Amino acid sequence: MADPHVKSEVKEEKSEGIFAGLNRDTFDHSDPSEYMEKFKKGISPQLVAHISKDKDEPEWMLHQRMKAYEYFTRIPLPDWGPSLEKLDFDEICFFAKAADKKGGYDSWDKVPAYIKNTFDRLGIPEAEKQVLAGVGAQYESEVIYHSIEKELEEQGVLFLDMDVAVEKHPELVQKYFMKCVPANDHKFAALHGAVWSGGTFLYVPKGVKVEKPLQAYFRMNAMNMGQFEHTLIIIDDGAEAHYIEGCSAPKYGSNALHAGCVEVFVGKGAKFRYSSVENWSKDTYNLNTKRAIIEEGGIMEWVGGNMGSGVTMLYPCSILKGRNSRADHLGIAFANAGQTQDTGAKIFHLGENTSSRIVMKSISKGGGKSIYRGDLRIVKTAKNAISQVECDALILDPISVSDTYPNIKVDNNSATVNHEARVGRLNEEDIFYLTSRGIPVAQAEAMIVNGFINPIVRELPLEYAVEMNRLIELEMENL
Amino acid sequence: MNQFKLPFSIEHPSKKDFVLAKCYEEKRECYKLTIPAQKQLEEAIYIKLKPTANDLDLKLVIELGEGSSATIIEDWSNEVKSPTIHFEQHIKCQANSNLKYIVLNCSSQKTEMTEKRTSDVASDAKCHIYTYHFGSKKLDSQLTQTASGRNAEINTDIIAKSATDQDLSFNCEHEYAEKQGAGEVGMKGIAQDKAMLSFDGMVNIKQTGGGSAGYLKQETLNLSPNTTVRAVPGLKIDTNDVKAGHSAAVRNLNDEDLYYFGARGIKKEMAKKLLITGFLGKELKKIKEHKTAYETIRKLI
Repeated sequence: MADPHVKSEVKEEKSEGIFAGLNRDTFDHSDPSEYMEKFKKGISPQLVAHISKDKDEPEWMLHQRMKAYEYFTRIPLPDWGPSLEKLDFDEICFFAKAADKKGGYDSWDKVPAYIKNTFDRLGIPEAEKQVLAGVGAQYESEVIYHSIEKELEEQGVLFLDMDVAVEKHPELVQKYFMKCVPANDHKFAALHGAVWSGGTFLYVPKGVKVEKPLQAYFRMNAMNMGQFEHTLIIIDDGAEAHYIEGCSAPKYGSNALHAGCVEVFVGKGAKFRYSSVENWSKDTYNLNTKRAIIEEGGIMEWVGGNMGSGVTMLYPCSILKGRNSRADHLGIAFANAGQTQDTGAKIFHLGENTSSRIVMKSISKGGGKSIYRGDLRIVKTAKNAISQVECDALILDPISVSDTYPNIKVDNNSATVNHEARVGRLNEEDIFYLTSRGIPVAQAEAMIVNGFINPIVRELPLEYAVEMNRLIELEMENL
Repeated sequence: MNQFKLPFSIEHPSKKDFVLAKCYEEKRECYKLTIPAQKQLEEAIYIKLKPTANDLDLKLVIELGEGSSATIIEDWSNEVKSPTIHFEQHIKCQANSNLKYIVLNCSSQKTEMTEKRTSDVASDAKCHIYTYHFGSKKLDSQLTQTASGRNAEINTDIIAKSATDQDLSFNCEHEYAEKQGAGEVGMKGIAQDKAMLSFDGMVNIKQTGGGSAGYLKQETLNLSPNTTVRAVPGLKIDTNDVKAGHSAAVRNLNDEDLYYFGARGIKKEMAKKLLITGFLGKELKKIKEHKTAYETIRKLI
């Protein structure tokens, strides 16, 4: 007969979830990086050509990379937002491979043991078994593992490493690649266009509904690494999918850079949710660009949590092109000591009867600075557009900062726009209520913060909601 | 008093209750109106800009001594037809003083105006600025109030109507530099025809401004398909012991309300007029006791 104690332990472990045991060591752990000896720091046209050659890319992609590099040299750094003064491009390694397997391995057993161990600690293979329909795992500049459920493959769903997609589906990729985020959009879109490597390509055919989420996890390991994965997602008419992005890196006390790019095309009547749990190390500059174009009747949902990075500049953007299309932006940002979380949303209403909703929650602690920056535009053609924006900020101590800079421009008199923002501290009465019931102050504060972010967290699948809560707990405990 | 030629007239039953002087600040000519300490003025001081078609460059300093109180009305009639107007104003409210400052701007819709207004409000003092702006072809207005003393109260109400091809831009900031400050910014406007109307607001609570409460509210009625409306409600909060918030709304008249009027036999145009009057009416009531100003604005609405 089985030992009843062992049974109960197993049950408890399951009920806590895959990510409940995450701790700071999980993220800060670093693997040996001897492979870095082969790769140089800094960016040059030679490096751009080398990346293209290494991937055996078609001519058009090399041409596009070189053009993007030219934009990168000409476009200045943004003259607004947090300071990027300490970001030294000569100190960043823009391309490095830990394993040489294009498209990644199709089984975790084939992945080099030390890399697999890292992803095991992060709970990715376990999540794949329990809740996901497919997984992509990137380590440094290239994808090292990729899988998708057979059933979905049979329905025509393509879930591939981006490098493989360029090789196997060149027409589809060429049609959409950097059409939503052109390389001359800004400095970091240009940089991305020049040195992008790895990432995910997802195509969901017409009418196919992918019920379980697909996940990609991006891990930087070496010091001064740069990661520039490209995510291209096409949700064809009437299709539905949910994609989850996770990321992390160990802390070295020396700058790292993440300038990924996410392009999403939501077809007529299609529905897509993009969730991300960002936890880069606090010496990372996270200068990511995410944008979606939504056709008639399409729905785009962005759900994001920004907990890591020293400096984040991230404003997911929805272009509501088709009539009756809709976008929801839900986000959390936690700015702890030394962090600037400059996040927000951009929404462009172009079509008739389009609607949007932005709900942002931020927490500032230990001198951290959280900034909401929004850009909402309703053009002449967007008759009867509706938009609702809500921003709430909690400042946990007297030295932390919260700023809100929304920009609303309306060129249409049939539009209805509402924006509300509130800033405050933890309610002393709530803390008193909890502590009078024997709950220690720190735990009471954490509980109130968890309640504050709950409207966003509950939009995530249970396992990832647990992960988000755990990350908030780690920030609250200063771990 | 009034030994020099003024670009404005001053009306008040007792001109001995305050001092008007001409002075120079950074080599620029300016006029300084001082309300002595502890002086409580019951009647409003009426500053009426004189009719002119010449360019105007004017600086006005208002100083309220400790414990004094006053209401000042600054009136720009449509006889002010200057092609360009540069107006600068600084208000200084000493401790425990109380100022109500009303700006009625109905200047010609051919003028291009830039104005920069600032206030510095000391401990336990109050400064409430009301701006009713209907004039100007192009306006760039910047208004910054600073609560520089403990318990200072700063309030600003900006009410604007932008029609035809007017381009009105308002930028208003409330800065709380000392503890226990309080105040609200209200920006309310109507845009119609081919007009542009921009409200840029900011509540800025410094690290030294703990215990302050600051709010910002922007509301715009957008009545025509060719208007452009911009709303930027900002918050900059550098400490945690605060109550701060903002809201912004841009909309047209509510169809249901129009239907309600229609169902009671009121024609659409009249219904619109009533709804617009209702939209701005609350703001107008705030100056009801100043009959001349009240009537001027009521007619314009």
